[in-house]
Amino acid sequence: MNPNIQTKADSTTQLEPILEIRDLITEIRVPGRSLRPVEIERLVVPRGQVVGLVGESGSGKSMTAYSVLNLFPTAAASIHSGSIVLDGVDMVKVRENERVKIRGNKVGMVFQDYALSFNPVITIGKQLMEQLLTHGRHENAKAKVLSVLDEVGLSAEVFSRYPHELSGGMLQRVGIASALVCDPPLIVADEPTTALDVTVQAQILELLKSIQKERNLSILLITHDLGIVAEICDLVYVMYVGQIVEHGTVHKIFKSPSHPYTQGLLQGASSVQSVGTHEIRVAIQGSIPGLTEIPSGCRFHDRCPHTMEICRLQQPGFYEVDGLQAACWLHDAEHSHG
Amino acid sequence: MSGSGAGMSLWRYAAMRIVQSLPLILGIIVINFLLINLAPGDPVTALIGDFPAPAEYIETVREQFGLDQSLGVRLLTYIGNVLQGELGFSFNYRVPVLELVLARLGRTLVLMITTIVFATAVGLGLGIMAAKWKDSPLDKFAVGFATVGYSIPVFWSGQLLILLFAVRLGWLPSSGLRSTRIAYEGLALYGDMARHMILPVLALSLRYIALTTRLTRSSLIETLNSDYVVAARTRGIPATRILWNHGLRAAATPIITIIGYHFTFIVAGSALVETVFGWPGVGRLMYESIGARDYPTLLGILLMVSIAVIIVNLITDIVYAFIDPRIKYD
Repeated sequence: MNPNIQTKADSTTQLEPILEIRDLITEIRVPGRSLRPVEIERLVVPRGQVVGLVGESGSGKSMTAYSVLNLFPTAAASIHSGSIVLDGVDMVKVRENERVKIRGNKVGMVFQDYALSFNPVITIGKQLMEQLLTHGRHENAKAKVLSVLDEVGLSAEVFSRYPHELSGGMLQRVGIASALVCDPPLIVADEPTTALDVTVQAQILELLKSIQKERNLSILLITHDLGIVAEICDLVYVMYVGQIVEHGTVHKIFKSPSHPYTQGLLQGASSVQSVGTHEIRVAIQGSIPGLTEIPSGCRFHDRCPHTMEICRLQQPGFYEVDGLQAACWLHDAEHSHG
Repeated sequence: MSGSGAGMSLWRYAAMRIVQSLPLILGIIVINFLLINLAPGDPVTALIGDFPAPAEYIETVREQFGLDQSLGVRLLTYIGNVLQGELGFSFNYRVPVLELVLARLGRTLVLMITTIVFATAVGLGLGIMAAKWKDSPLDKFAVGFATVGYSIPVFWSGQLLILLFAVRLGWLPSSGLRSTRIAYEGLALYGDMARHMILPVLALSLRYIALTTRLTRSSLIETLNSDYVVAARTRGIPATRILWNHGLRAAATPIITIIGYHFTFIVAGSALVETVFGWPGVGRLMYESIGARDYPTLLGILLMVSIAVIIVNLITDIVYAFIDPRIKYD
């Protein structure tokens, strides 16, 4: 597509990234065809930073999270091509038995459905121990688990509890403890607060923030909630129908978004002052297209208020606009004022 | 702390269940007694046979066994005797029922326990493999086998097994407990009895292997697709460990249910299998007693079977608590 992927001036690439996704295509095979929920040209998580991945439901955020681990909840999904370099290892190229050693060890995952992320008939302690021991951390394993539980604000008593004996907020803390227990440099958090009560959401977010600072952790935070992005992220990637449409620092995205989709998202977020709803309120007409009806050209063109002729025909590349990268023809010198 | 607390409630629960089952057993006695008396046929006629006996003799026999009393009096007498551990006297064998049943109980238990262990092991193994390699030829075989195995009635599969392995191939004995022509001793005797058990156990197992396979397969597939298994995989837990540690633990509850459920049907099945294979156990005794209108023996067997079923259900419920902490006793 566009060779001008990222300019060298971009401050975020100066650090060696913990995660770098390039030309990733994830596909879902259904009888007779193949759908592509994720087509990411480039996504970078620098060390020690929190990167938000935002978009509406159905934009491919969760599939991106699973792609990072190269592990999908359904056998129909797989990575078609591209590279995902996680702490120096390409999760696409490396063999499955190597990937098993990386999951939970070099990258922890936090889920939205905290209630469903633990085996209901095994104690919390045993499940965290299982993870540590699987990754060869035999020394002081129990002490390690207890210290991680303490770090996420849970008492040692939780060790011998079963999942159904804990509240949602406590379980999500266990979820974070599980992501942290092997001291990974990166955490992928998929809507970690979405299913929680509003008051608990704030606590969990606060916890993530403090742990991130304490450990100098890198986080890929997947959310539809721009309030959370503003609260915790350093960088933002905006996703629409499987593709990144704009990315840059949180400050700049909120101050002057340059992609019409981001603009719509922000307007929606400010007009509806709700944090707890699952759906993004988008001040944009229409709804996100399904994977079987992806529009030609710019995928956003049929909902965009500024559609031009070129938008229907050709996909835009990234343009640098005031320090942001936006994939929009509006910023192309030839088309912008034509 | 929490462990002993759970243990306490478990014992209290077990004690409560035992107390609760006492009226149940009483009810079973009454219903069995009435059902048998509803059935056509007269034990006295069966006792005397087709021989034309004088009326006074028939009356004497009737009086001797207390059959001249009214149904209500007989029922109360029977309950009173049972409460004293007295199961009555067999019309047919002329020995106390308890003695008669206990002498044969061991043989039936050997058959049943072997069947349950064998069928559970094979069914679990087949079910696990079918779930692990879902949609493979092995899985298709397991599903097909389960359907066929479940559909074949035990008296028919028993006769087919005899035809194939005893008559056609001559590999195994067709009936009995042991060989009658050669008197084996010591270990050889056990070996001989084991050979005699193979066919009846196979016949009895078929249906339960089929059930266990199907149930293990489906509950394991469901578990392996559950969210927490996906979550465990994101933590780097290898697939094999997930299967054994997470998958089977979750699949255990339905599997234990089916084992407990099997037990009752194996009791019924053993009556057929023991008859087909000439196995001198309680099942055949039951069959013979029905033919002979031997009410006390039949009642004794039914009572013991009922108690056994209640005990197995109790054990099943207690085992649930050990494998699933979410089950509460209230």
